[in-house]
Amino acid sequence: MLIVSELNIRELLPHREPFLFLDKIISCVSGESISVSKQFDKDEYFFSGHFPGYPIVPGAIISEAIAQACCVLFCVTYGYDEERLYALGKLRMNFLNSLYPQQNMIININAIKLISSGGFFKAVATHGNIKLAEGQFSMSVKKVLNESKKS
Amino acid sequence: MSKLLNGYLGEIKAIVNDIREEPLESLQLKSNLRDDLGIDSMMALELMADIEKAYSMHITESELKSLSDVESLIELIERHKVKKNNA
Repeated sequence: MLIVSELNIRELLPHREPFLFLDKIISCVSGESISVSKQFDKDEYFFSGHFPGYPIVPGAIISEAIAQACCVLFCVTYGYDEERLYALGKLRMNFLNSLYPQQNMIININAIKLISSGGFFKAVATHGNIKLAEGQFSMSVKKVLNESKKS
Repeated sequence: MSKLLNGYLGEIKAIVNDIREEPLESLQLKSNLRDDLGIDSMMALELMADIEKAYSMHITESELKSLSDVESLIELIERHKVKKNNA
């Protein structure tokens, strides 16, 4: 099993704050699976609106964290490329329980099919014994276009 | 059309319908995966995963790229079946 430390996240992902939603890579098996963790601070920008006085991590953010975990698994498998962009394909998620500020979320990803141009994954997000979300989604990778760089 | 071929077409149609989330009007041997069935590159991954599971086989990246229509997919399934039987 290939273990990747938390220091490697920024070397493997192009995402940055305020849109980087992974803290730590717990374990990763190249081409197969990854386990990551994330704890959302109570001062995260989206809590003021989602919802006022009752902060809950949006399902869209949980989905994005899952997608970022898949990007890391892809990079561990095929190597980092700064010219690479990631595009989400189909997303089939069930959201089962809420995640609140300062609760730790663990995401486990299994690659159902992973090739050099994308992947199809199964994901489960949990907090302790509580299942937060589960589902499947696909992702493709593309080369950065000059137009994308400019904008 | 043989019973075996009819079986393949029915099974592949069910898988494609599930991926597309809407039923196909028809699926023929010569149906192009992209142009006729609307299978884009990301759906193709899902299709391959479902085919691998349904037929207990592993499809390589180069095999995936060589697929163009339903006939080529059935031929691939058959090749894997023969390989498995000879192993």
